[in-house]
Amino acid sequence: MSTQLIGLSLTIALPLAALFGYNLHRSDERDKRELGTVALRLADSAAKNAEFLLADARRALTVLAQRPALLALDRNACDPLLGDIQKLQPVYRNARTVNRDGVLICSALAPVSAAAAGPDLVSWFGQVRDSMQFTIGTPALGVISKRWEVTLAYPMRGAQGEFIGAVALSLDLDDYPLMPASTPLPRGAVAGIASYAGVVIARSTEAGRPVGSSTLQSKLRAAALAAESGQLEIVGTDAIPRIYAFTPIPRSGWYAVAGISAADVYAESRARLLQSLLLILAVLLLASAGAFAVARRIEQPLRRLADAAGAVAAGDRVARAPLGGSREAVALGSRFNAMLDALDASERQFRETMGNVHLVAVALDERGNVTYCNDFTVELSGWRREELLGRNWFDTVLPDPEPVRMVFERAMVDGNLPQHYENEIITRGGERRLIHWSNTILRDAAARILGTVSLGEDVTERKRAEEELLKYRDHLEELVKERTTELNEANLRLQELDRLKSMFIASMSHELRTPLNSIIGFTGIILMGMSGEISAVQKKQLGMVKNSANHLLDLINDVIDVSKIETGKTDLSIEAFDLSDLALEVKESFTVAASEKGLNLEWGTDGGAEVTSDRRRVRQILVNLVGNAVKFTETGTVAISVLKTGKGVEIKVSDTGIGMHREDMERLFQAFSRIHFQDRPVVEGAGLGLYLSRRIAALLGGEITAESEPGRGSEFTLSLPRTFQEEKG
Amino acid sequence: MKKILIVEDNEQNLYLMQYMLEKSGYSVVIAHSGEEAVISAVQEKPDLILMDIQLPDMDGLEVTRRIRASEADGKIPIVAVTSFAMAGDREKALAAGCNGYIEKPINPENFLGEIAKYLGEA
Repeated sequence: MSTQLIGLSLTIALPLAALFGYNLHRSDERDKRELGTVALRLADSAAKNAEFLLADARRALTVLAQRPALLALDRNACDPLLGDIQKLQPVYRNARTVNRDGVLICSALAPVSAAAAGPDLVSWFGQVRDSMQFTIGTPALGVISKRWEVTLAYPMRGAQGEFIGAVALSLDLDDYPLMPASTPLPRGAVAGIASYAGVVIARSTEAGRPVGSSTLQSKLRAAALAAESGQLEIVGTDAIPRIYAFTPIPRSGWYAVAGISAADVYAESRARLLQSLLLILAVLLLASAGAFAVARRIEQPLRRLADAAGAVAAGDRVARAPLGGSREAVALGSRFNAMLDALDASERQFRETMGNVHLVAVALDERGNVTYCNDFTVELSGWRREELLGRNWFDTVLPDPEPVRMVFERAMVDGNLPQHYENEIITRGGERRLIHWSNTILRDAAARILGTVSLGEDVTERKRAEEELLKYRDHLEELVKERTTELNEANLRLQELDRLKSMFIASMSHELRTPLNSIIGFTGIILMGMSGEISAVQKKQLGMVKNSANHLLDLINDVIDVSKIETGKTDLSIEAFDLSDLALEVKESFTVAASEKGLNLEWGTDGGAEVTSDRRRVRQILVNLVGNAVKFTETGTVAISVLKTGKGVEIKVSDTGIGMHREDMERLFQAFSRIHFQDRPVVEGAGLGLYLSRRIAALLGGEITAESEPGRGSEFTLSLPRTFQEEKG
Repeated sequence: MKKILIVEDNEQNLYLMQYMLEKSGYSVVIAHSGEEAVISAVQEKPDLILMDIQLPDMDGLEVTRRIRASEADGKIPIVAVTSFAMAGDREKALAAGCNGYIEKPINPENFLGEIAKYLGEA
């Protein structure tokens, strides 16, 4: 940085110096052109100054020449005005009057002998006497002052205008102010006044030569004689080359000259330029030095920051910038370190998070080389971190790298990376794991693709479980199908069995009826005497056969009825009939049996009981109930009563029989149940009667209830609706 | 003399019915099979047919249908005599064209009365 600053300083300084050098040269040229003009201006100023001086002096002489006191030309009565006039200008020397012979009459200075003023007199007196006009004399060494003077004279006229004398005023040329106060001579410049006759009137002191005696350069005088004014470059008497300009001083016979030494002027401007250049160089040097110092104070800390940043970038997580340098650098350094701390904390958090998650986290560069991997990646893959870092991911962990590499490489070009991807990786141990990836393209600030960052979930087990589940589901379906088939088959078998049972029962009843047909038929015709006369004994015995056969037939019919009811194949024949009539009919069918046992058989009704039901089935129930009553009653009465109720009709069959316990009564209605009574003979029957009766009653929409007490007899009640309702069946 | 055709394959049942009917003064024609029954029904033109339902060649209902479909016509009363006492047997017999239904075993005490009824004698 410091070198850069110095370089920058030089870059600025060098063109500046070149510019100055060029300007130096340029100013030479320009000055040469302009010097003449300056010299001319100086010459003009000197000429003007001289012209004014001469004009003033002439006015003063004009005034004096008319003073009567002076016109009197009396040595003893001199006008004091002479002294006053002489004091008007420093350059004025002696003011005096002379008579027509040139003898000094009055003098502002101490009077001297006329002889002493002789040489002076020569130069101007003759001229004023002859011309009778204002006269400028030639420079001469003053008699009294002993200095170079030039004397101006004005004639005094007598009453007839004749020349009576002259007023003279000497000018001290040594003190002569060549230039007006407003226009001083520049350094190295010279000026002078000379007469066209070639006599030097006055000159700037640098010339170092007495006025009057010296003559100007002949070239200059020649030029001044040749042209009213002009300029030329010549080497002066002091051997210095100058640019000279000359111009006439009106009404004086003089001209003013000014010379400017080119060298002096150049030297001056060069010195000035050089001075500027040095100043600039000094400033630049100072600036450079300052810059260097500042650079050292800024650059060093910056370099340390850069070093620290480099170390951090290279993976040194504890590297920090040493603090030092300017206040700003320290602030920057501590900020930088704080930032590194935050970065470190953030990264530590990231690493801890990435370390703890059971996700594969991998960053790849644009060639697919691993630049980062978390602990889980290491754990899962079986590769060490150092082995994975820098290595090509696809070649290392993919069992079939090409398809994935193709997707990756395409993404590195066009930036289209599938957000989700699933592929197998192979661990170092050769195990295959299925990973479900979530991918992101990593770009730098300029949106250039740097690589990828991917988070992967190990879905091997899940996939396996899903597949297992799928298999189980399929299997379950199979099982259900199997079971259903089995059930269907079982059902079909059961239905077949049921069908076979029904067929069996039907067949059995048919087969049993056929021999019964013969037994009952032939017993019947013999008992009827159709086959001839039979004895009383034969009749009694054949009657027993007939009873047994009939009982067998009842059993068969009961079995068929049970079968019909249980298979729901009971055919009902619904019709309207009078229940009282039916009850009476049943009662009468038992008249013989009851009288044989000596039982009293009663019947009662509260009027006609018209119902709509299955007459045959109701009769079957009543026969069963009355038959039981007769069967189980030894003495007393069996009573049948028909009653109309709110819902329908009731038939009660009560007896004075043996009765039974409550617990026995429930068994009463169960199929094939027989209640055995001690000390009672077993009554024949299959035990189907009450069961069938109750089922038939239910089929008809009614019910059978019983009340009994042991030793007190029983009462069975059949309740039926007045009208059979199909849906109730 | 009224002629009754007994269709029955069981000899004992046949004999029982034949004995009772002949004793009662009816002329009895016998068929042991369905085929015989159809032929006899056409040829003999009986006044009543007692039809067993379970026959060796075809069931009595089919025989009944054939007789009814034949030229012998349906004026002859046909009474099903069957030990088929399962649900619907009665209805099936009537639907096949039978006029009546006597359940086996037959009761000799009222059998002749039933016959007289179907013959229109009672």
